[in-house]
Formats: sequence, C-alpha cells, structure tokens
Amino acid sequence: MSGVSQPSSFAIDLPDSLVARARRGEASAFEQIYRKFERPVFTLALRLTADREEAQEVLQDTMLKLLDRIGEFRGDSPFWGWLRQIAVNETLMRLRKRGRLPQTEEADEASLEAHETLLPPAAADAAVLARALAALPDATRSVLWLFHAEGYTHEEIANLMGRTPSFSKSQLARGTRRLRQQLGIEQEAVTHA
Amino acid sequence: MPDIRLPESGPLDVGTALARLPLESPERSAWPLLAERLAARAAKPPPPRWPFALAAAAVLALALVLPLLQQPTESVLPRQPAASGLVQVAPEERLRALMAESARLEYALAAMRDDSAGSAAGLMLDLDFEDRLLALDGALARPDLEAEQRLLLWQQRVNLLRDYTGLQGTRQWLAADGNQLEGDVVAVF
Repeated sequence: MSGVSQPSSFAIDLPDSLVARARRGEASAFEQIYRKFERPVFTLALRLTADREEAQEVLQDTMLKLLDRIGEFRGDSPFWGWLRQIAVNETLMRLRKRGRLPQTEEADEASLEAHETLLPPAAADAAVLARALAALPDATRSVLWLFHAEGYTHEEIANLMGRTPSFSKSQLARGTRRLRQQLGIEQEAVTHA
Repeated sequence: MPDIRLPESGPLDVGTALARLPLESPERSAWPLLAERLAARAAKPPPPRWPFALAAAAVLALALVLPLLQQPTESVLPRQPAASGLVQVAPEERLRALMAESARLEYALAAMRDDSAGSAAGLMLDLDFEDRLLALDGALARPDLEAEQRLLLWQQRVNLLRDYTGLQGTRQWLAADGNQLEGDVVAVF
C-alpha cells in the first residue's frame, strides 16, 4: 500500500476470539462483524458505483460472501483487509458486468504537477465533493477512491482492474484534474452568488 | 449525504479531502437476510465426515431434534440431560444444536421485533434482555473457556432467547388486542 494521509475506514481491528466465533458459525459473532463493517462496505461501494441501490446490493453480496468464505480466512493479515478485498472485488465485478469500466486503454494523461494535487476550497464541503466525485466516469472515480481513501498502490489497482499501472496513474491524473475543474466551477458559482 | 463543511478554508490536498468524506449508511440493513441464511445453514444436518458410530449417534439425535426444529417457539434441547441409556449426545453435537437453535431464535426475534414505542415496562425488558445477552456473549468470547463451561453458557443463551422469544410472542398477541406488556408479565420474565 502507498502512504496515505488518513487510514481507511475499514481499518477496524477485531478480537481474534470474535473472528474465531464467526468461523464456527455463531450468528451473534457475525452480527457484531456486520454492525462494525456495514458502513465501511456500503461507503466503499457507494464511492465506486455512485449509486445507492447498487451499493446496497454490494453490501448484501459482500456480507453473504463473508458468511460463505470466512473459513478461508487464515489470520495472517488483518481481517478488515481481507473483507475489504471482497468488497472491492464485488464492486468492480459489478461495474465490469455493466460495461462501466473501459475495455481499451485511453491515451495517457500527463502526470500531475505538485500544485495540481490541491483541490479548491469548495472540496471542504462534503456534499459538494461527493457530488463532484460521483460525476466522474466510473473507472476514474474508482481509481481516485482506491488510491487516496483506501491506500492501494497503482500496481494493486492495476491488478484489481485488470489493467496496467500506467492506466491507474493516468486515471488518477485525469480524475484529479476533473475534480479540480468541477470544484472550481462550484467555487466560482458560490463566489458570484 | 450529511452536509458537513470541513474547517479548512484554503486549498485541500485531494487525498485528505477524499479520506475525510463521512461514512454513509445504507437505507436498509442487510442483517435480516444474513441471519436468515445463517439460520438455514445451521438447521442443515452437518456433512457426514465423522466415524460411523458418531454418525449413527447424530442421526438418532437429529431424529429427536428435527420435529422440534419445525416448531419455532418450542425447545430443541431438553433443559435436563436425556435419561441415561436412551441417547448419549456428544458434547460437540449438543453445542452445534445449541448454536443452531440460538441462530434460529435470533432470526425469529429479528422478524418479530417491533421497535416502535411501547410501554416503559416493555422497554426495560428489552434493555435487560440485551444486557443479559451481551454479558453471555462476553463470557463466551473468553479464550480460556472449558468445553463444559462453553456448553453451559450456550445453553443459558438459548434459554434466554427462548424466554424472550416467547415474551415477544405474548407482546404481539397483546398488541393485536390493543394492549401492552405490563408489570405482571414482565415480573414473570
């Protein structure tokens, strides 16, 4: 993972005993795990799909997979990382099935200059930023979120999306520029109002 | 989407801004479906991967338990141990049956539970139930539990869920008649 300024919302450590109880099929343990990860899973799916109904379905399918596959969890990495991987895979699979991820490589976007990694002050408004993010193409938005909010590297994103690291870098640059542009417009609208 | 304005007034690093977006909540909980799936799985007979003698014992145990499983409000396991010489149920099998019953009762409770405003006595009862369940789950989470202690705690958990499920049934029956749980019923619990 690359260094990120904020930890992933998934980074919730669980007691080994709770995971062990879930592995034995105890409903109360599963319920505790569900309650802890309901919002992180839903939020991840929502950020990647920009569709609440689809995020709801991802939440359900991810948790059903958790029930089916918890026996495969070996405990050699954090549980939250394992569950997050299921959620990311489930979401990307849905985007792929719906043809919402590009099938061909687009022209490379020029790398970002240092000043281009800064967003206008309008980004401080969560609702405005979420709206601007949702307006991005699915692949672009997914790369932005996985890289910045979840801390995946370009290599990891490339593997997840079945593309090259340069695709991931290119989408990140394109997405950041578009965000800056949209938030700049929002900012101007607020300034002139 | 909560309309949260972050304190910064200048430009924000894109990573910081994205990571600070608040967590979102789904409109519907997926837990009832998961609980249903768990209960269905727990009610299934386990795959035949143990020695024949154990398998035979399990079949006998299942023959005793199965008719009860089909009646949601009745008990699966006897509160007293089975008469000696009749059927000796292996501790693992008893534990499995208790866990299955526990999951099934929790599912039934989730389906029955009405969180709308009720009587104060009923609310106290709900809170007391949750406290007792949490205490049992806390005890069950201890890694140093002996097998016998674990079995006993699971039996207590099932007993508690059984009592509470019965009470919820009474509550619904009373509600259908325009009444609420009051002191007498709560005192019995």
